[in-house]
Amino acid sequence: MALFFLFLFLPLVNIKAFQKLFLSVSLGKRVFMLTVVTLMCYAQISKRWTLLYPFVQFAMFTRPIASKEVVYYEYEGLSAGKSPIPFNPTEVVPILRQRRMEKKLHLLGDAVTKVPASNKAALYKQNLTATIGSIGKLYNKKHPHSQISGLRMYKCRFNMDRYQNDSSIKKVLILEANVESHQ
Amino acid sequence: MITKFTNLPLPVNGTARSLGFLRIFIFAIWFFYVLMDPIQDLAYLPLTAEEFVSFFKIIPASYLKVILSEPFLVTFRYITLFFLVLSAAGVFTRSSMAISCGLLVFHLGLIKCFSHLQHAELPLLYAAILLAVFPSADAFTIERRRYDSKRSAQDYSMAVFFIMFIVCMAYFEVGVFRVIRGGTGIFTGNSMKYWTILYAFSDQDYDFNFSRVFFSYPVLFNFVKIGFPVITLLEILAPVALISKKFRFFFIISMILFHVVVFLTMKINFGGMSLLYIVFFDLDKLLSKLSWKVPYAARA
Repeated sequence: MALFFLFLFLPLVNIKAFQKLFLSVSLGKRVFMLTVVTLMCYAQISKRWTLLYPFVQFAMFTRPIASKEVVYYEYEGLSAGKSPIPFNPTEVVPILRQRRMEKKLHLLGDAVTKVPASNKAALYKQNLTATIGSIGKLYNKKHPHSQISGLRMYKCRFNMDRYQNDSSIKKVLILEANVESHQ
Repeated sequence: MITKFTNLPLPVNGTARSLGFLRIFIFAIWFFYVLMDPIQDLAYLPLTAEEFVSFFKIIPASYLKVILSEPFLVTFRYITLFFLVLSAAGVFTRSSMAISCGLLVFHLGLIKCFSHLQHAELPLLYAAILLAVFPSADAFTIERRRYDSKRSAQDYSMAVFFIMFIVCMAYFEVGVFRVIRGGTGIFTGNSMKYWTILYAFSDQDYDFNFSRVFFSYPVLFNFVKIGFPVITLLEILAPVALISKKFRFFFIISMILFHVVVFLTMKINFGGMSLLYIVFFDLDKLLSKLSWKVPYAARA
């Protein structure tokens, strides 16, 4: 990675117009810019980038995927009469949109279902139940006229090469949490 | 050839007016960002983060409990909105921009306590920080500031160039890191097909799901597979946009198309990042065409 940075900076610093522009600003601003660039580069290389926040590692779609099985999670609210209500956690907590909520619940869902008998899985299940319950409570606060009393989480999976239509998706209930009404 | 390269001109034109406009534009984006998403919702979620960012690691648990309470988060949100308005409007501009940037860093850090950071938001944050350091308060401000006659035109151009550099560097880092970590396997296998399907099915931000169209016409998956290395190459070449106007035009069009396709298929929203492309245009020329007058300080 460091070598690639060299490929980026070496040509740039050799451009006379850039040198002139860079040297024309005050020393303080030059130091500031160099610090920003150094931190950006270091955060990209370092494994402990969370310490350098707001400078972070820029990485998207970097690990090759061999699996053909697509796994995702779906949610369903339950009214007081136990009839299902469409439920979208991201809609309830919009601050965690942009896949933040999906990823959070996905990681917990995977942790619970991958080795269900382990001690850690029990802990994760407790965690997931608390999270789902909290989202449900917030939903009740935001929807005073359409309260829910429970929330279900389903694990959905299908083979991407054999997908025909939605009936190819296997849907299994993995968790049901009670939801408090918001006072 | 080397001499020809070193003598290349930098296609950048920063002025008090363009930097003032950028200040309004970027702080207005952040204003709507904070306004649209009520951060106080986080008070309802149990704190499960295993990896806090930098300064959150040293905040004692009892303080964190207060910070993550609804009254604190509501107050924090309104204070942030207040300073963002001051920054954009140009009232106590330098101080309000510095405070706004601090509050934005804290805002995104709080979100990170509950999930991951969105890369598309970070160049916008860096741009706001840079505007707070560079002279972006010399035009389009409500306050009457005394114009610093020692200020050279290069100060404005350097600021615009550095924001462009940050945007290009973000793309460059993503592209290079993908090649280093993923190797050729990431492009030859079915990784992109997998992500397209996974994101389309699991993402609940938007109601549409175009991935079903892909299943009806599987040949479309080939376009995704071919497009992936092409886009990665463009990301790696992003810094060329700093020195070549022709490549810059090609790069912006390609990236906007790419972000639109990614939004429609995978529902990943790069809207904020795409809005930052405005920095690649000659804003002063654009504003002249619109006959926008420069209020106060920089009018002299």
